[in-house]
Amino acid sequence: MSLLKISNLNAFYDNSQVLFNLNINITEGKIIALLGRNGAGKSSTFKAITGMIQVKSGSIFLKEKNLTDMPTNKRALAGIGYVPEDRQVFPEHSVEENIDLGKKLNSDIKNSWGKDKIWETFPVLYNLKKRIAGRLSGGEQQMLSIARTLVGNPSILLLDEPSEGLAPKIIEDITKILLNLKKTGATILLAEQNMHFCMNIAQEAIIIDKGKNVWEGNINKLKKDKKTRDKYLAV
Amino acid sequence: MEVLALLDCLSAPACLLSQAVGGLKIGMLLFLVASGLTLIFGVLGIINFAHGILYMLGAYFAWQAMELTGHFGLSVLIGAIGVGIFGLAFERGLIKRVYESNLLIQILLCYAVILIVDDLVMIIWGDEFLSSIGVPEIFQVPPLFIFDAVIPPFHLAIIFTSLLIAILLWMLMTRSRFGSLVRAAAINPKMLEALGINTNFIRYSVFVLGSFLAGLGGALAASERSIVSQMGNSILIESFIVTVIGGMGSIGGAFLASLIIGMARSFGAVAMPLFTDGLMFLIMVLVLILRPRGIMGEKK
Repeated sequence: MSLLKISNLNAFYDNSQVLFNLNINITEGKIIALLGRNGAGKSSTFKAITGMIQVKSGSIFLKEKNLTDMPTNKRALAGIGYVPEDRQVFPEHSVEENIDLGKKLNSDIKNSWGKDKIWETFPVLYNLKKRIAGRLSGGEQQMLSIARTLVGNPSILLLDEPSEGLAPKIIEDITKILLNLKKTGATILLAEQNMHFCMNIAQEAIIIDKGKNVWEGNINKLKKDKKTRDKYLAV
Repeated sequence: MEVLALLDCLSAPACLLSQAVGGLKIGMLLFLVASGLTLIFGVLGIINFAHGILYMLGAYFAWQAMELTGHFGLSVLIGAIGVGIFGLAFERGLIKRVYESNLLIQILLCYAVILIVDDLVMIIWGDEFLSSIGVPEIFQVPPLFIFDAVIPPFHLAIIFTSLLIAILLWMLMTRSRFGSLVRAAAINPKMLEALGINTNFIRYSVFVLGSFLAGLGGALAASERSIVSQMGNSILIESFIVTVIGGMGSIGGAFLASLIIGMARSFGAVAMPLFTDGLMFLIMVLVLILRPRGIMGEKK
């Protein structure tokens, strides 16, 4: 069943167009890698879905709900969970306060992520819950950013380059967390430049280039398709 | 400079205590007004040049309520709540339209509102000084004599009321979900919206809270001072000085700076009676040179 459907989307930063007739269809319960080179439009896609940049035409539907003209906070209440590229934790709030900010008090979304489940999934954060978020390492901040979004019980998680700038050991920890989420049937759109990071996690992949989707299919098929990878993903 | 007079005062318990209580009263009333100004700047990024009229309206509303009800506590409360409601209309009707505008447009809007409200006040209440609303009956008693210092009980009541408000404000900002949202909105409102929070609600709530505090300051001050149009101008300047000394956006800084300014005014009146206003600016200049972000301001 289609959970997120983006049709013919044209989005802009001020007067510069960044997405051109973008079409994405995400099925519920799947993890999809959104691949592309730096500047291809991955973060812009997320910003268009969350309402942070201007959409001039096209539509975004989450199940039957039309999000296209909704303000950012209402999209989040409808079920969009966004974990930005640069984590954007609140640096002067403690870990626990950051997580509490992610709770949605006035939402009718099913509450499946309580704080206990967050601590269970992110034991590292439990041990640091009183620490000021600005003093966490990059990996800890990444986990906090994911946890803060999960506690709001999103229908779909938009993860923007979660492995960026992290040590291999930390990337391994985040991979484990995402694999656990996969087992629970979470729907995730995972933007990455690092295709290897996505290989074990995602079932499908979408490649975008210059603001358009240029390829989509099973991620194993992409693994074997050297020509496509060289054309759109090689640096 | 009357150095000897200051030394005499500091060494005499009666003078020391009465000047300290006077300084505390000035400082705590100033804190009520300045905390609203710094809170609004911290969260909304707006320098509310019209903050002084909120103080003035608090005094006028309290005076009018006193005329109608004759009840001091109720009048002060009506003054503060009335200004809170005015603040809501001011933010929703005008201020929200200039959040993204440049500073010049924001200043022009605030200045226009100051002129309009000052004129409206003169049309409604006249251009003559109105007498203070007076001290409640319970405090119309002989002053206390502590170490020979003459302390009016009502001054202590003002200090404790303002201190209580400061503690409640501190608890609201550090111990409640609302405070956590306000602090987060001051840092990254876009991320907060992506978490499902309506930051518009936070913006106008903060403006209403800041207005309420300024109105409360004006209403309490009206107990002892006469009320006149443009009475908000001097408190606005003092509030800016407090905001700069304490650090833009810092409530704790505003508290500390208000006490410093209160004491500087009170003891300055003994040491340099012709330079008390200048002393405030001198302190501000020193802070700007030595610590430009203010005592408790964040590094940008």
